[in-house]
Amino acid sequence: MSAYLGEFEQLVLLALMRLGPGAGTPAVRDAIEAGSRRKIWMGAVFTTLERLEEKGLVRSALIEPAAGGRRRKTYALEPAGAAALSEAYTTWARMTRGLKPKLENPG
Amino acid sequence: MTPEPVRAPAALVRLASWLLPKEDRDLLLGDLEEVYVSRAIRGRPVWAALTFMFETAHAAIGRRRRRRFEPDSFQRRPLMFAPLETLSQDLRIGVRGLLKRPGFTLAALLTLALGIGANAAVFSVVNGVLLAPLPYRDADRLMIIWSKWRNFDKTWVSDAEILDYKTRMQAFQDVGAWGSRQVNLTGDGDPIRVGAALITPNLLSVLGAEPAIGRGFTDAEALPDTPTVVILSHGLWQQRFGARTDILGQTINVDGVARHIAGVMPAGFQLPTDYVEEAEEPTRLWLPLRLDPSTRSSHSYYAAGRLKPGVTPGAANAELLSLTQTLTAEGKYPQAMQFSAFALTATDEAFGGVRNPILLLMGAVGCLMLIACANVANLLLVRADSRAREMAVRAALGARRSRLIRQMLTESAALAVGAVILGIGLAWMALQLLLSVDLTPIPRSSGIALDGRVLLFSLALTGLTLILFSLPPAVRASRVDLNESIKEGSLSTTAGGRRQRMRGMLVAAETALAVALLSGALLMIQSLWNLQRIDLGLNPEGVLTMRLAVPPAKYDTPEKVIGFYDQLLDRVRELPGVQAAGFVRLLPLASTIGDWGLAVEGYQPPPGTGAPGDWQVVTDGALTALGERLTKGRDISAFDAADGQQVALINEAMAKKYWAGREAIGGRFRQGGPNRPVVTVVGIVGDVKHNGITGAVKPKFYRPHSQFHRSSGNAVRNMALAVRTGEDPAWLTGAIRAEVRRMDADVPIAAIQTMEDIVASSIATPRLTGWLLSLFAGLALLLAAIGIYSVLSYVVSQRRREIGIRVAMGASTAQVVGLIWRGGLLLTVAGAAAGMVIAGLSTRAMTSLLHGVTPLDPAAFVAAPVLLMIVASLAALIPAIRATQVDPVRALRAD
Repeated sequence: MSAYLGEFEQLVLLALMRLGPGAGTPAVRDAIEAGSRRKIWMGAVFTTLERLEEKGLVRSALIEPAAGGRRRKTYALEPAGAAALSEAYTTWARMTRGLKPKLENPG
Repeated sequence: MTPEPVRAPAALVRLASWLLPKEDRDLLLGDLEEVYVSRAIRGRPVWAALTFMFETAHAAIGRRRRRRFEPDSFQRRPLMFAPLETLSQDLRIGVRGLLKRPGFTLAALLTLALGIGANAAVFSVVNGVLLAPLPYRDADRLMIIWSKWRNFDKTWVSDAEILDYKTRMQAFQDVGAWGSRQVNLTGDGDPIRVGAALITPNLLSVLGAEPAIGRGFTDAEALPDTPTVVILSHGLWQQRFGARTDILGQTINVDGVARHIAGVMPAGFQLPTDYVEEAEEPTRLWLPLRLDPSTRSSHSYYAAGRLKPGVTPGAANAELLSLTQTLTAEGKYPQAMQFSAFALTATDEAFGGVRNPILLLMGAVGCLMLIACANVANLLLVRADSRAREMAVRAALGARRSRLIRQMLTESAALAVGAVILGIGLAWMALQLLLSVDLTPIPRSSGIALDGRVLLFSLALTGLTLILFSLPPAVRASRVDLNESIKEGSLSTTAGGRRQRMRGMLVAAETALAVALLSGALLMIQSLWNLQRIDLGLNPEGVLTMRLAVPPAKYDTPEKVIGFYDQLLDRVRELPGVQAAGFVRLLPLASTIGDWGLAVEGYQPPPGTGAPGDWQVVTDGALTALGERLTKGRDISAFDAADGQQVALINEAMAKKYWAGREAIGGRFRQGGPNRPVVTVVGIVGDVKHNGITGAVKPKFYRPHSQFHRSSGNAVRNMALAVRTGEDPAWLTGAIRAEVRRMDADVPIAAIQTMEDIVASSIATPRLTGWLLSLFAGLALLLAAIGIYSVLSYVVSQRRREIGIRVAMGASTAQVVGLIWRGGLLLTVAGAAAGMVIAGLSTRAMTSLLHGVTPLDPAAFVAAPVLLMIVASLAALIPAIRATQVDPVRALRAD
């Protein structure tokens, strides 16, 4: 069983999976904002990515800047990260089985 | 070539990199900048900058918090760091406390930031305009000398007068003079027309300025028939000569004459009149001037004198007055002319016109800051009450009072630091907005920026306000009565009567300041309204203007000058979209018009006076293009030829003054000496405001350009084109430029502007002052309303129990609302009354800024308190209504 994932961590990992390797923090943020319809802080994404990297779920690469630019960090999903997402998804799928009508029409 | 990449403003990046933790500053900045750029290129730079700052602040706080919980920060530090330890502990508790109450923190932060931002923005104007030194050595000893006589309050001086002041006065070390004009630069590159001045060779030493390269003029160079020389401004040297250092001795073509370059002035050098009189087209090159001792009655120069050490400006003025009286006694001026002279310090000359408005605004933002402080102090008082129990417990556990005060001050300081960062961000945005407005009427507006001095000022201001808003509540709160507080042991450690009174006083004080600000703003708005309704005597809508000058060397006869302008006029009228076009010597409101002594048939001037008239020179079509009104007779026409009947139009003021009770049409006068032709009046034009929007209109006459040289000897070479069009003026500019180039590529075009812009900039200072004052008054009103709201809300929460009892005893909704509302209204009435007193005492300082309104205008003095009462009543209503929702059962059971 992989590490437990918080909701936001799941969103970040899903964004990375969608974007593929080489995505930077702003791209991840945009993807989450688009999908979750929420306003997301850059700092939150940055910190979460860092934490996920410490857990070994994502890896990062430093991109040396073009002239006059700044160094950038890009991220990619590690196999462990993909596995953790898959685990979370399976749990979610099991727990929601048969609940579809209620989930789509709450109340 | 690739286009210049969009970058985040350097100041923002610097601020952000200071805020962000060192470890991942570079990476965070890269991401934040990327987001900024993606927003900015979508055309929303302000939004991008704002979110950049918020994102940065959020990331900085988040990152730092994360660091704090990492293991290494828990190591024990040596004992000697104990005070620091306390500080950081206070800070941590403080920041945590602030974050725990985001509503309170946000309100306090925004209130303070508004105050600091407004102050920083206005102070940067003060700093850039009033505090920066003039480019002269010992500028406080430099005085500008003006003439004054009957009907002329402040005008030029004549050659002989300058020489008199130089030789016969004790107060001045030396006196120099200059006269401004426009010249054409031709030769290398496009022809350009630039402002220039003739200066006496001693002027630079009088001003206390030296060329950065080369030398000034020698006395010999001012003599006629000597090798011709010129001094360049720093800007012209850079623009025209690419800042080449081997410039000395090179030649430059000025009005068709090759002149050797003698020197280049340092960057920032200007003549004293370039700040105000010549601000539209400051002088950029200087030619030598020789004064003619025999010229006394023609006043055409500016003069400056340098005071001897120890001589006061007052003494110099007294001596000027007595010298001019002596000159009159010597018979050099008629008694009735009341000739005299006076001198202004260079600083007064340059900034006299804007000092009052700027100081007024500074006063206004000062008030705003006080209001903000009162509001935050109030919030802190409320907060201190809600923490009374915490304080009591800490005191019981042995915390000393000083420690408690320090704890609360640290918290306030954290608040202030946040506010100053936010405030400077606000000031930066305000300045971007301000600088996007045309600020030509404000001297040295290019020096306005957020520099070190402004930052220092903001920090000092913040420190001061920190004491103002936080010390009293802290001292109050720390004075805990252990027995009382803990014994009660309930939520309702209610505020004592004294504390309640203090809050009330704070609210009344801010209400008073708001009313005072509001009165001032209303006065300015009324004044602006009056200014905008003044009949200018012309119609500026859809009029494009530009200035042209034909070089004297090539156009050496009146026929050539007239021929050029006539032909150009024909071509301009052919352009599509042109409804009317004409040339005038001077555009109204864009330049100062002077007068010419006339001999009017049948008018006997009172002894000692003459019959002066402002002299305007026009071609046919000019009146129509400018929308001036012909009230009687006929307009100048293309058939008024040089050798035909000499004609003129006159304005109503001239008809009224020199033809009082007579028919002016057909009246005759002579311009120039007795050998000049007699001029017949053929039409009367409605009065046009020329030298300013508020001044009285003086007698004025219009001569046809084609005839003017018959009276003066020379045709006017510098003319302004006025074109009335239904098209886009920008398109027309290019087409007219092309026509001019086709006729003569050496004739430059300058000062391209619409008449509407000219009119707008003539009231730019009062308009800007009015707008800013209104903005500040609006903010003050808002803050006062917030203050009233927060105090009453608190009162309601404290009196829940009492209200509950009243409701249980059968008090009606209206009675409960009235109870709370009355309290709020009482504070407002007291504050408004005090505010009217403050306003009454302070609006007098605005007298010089007002037009058609007295400083004690009843409308403003009634409207301001009424407006405030309305806003305050609304603000008080919300908590009052909330009070009616108190459920008596719950309120009573709560204890």
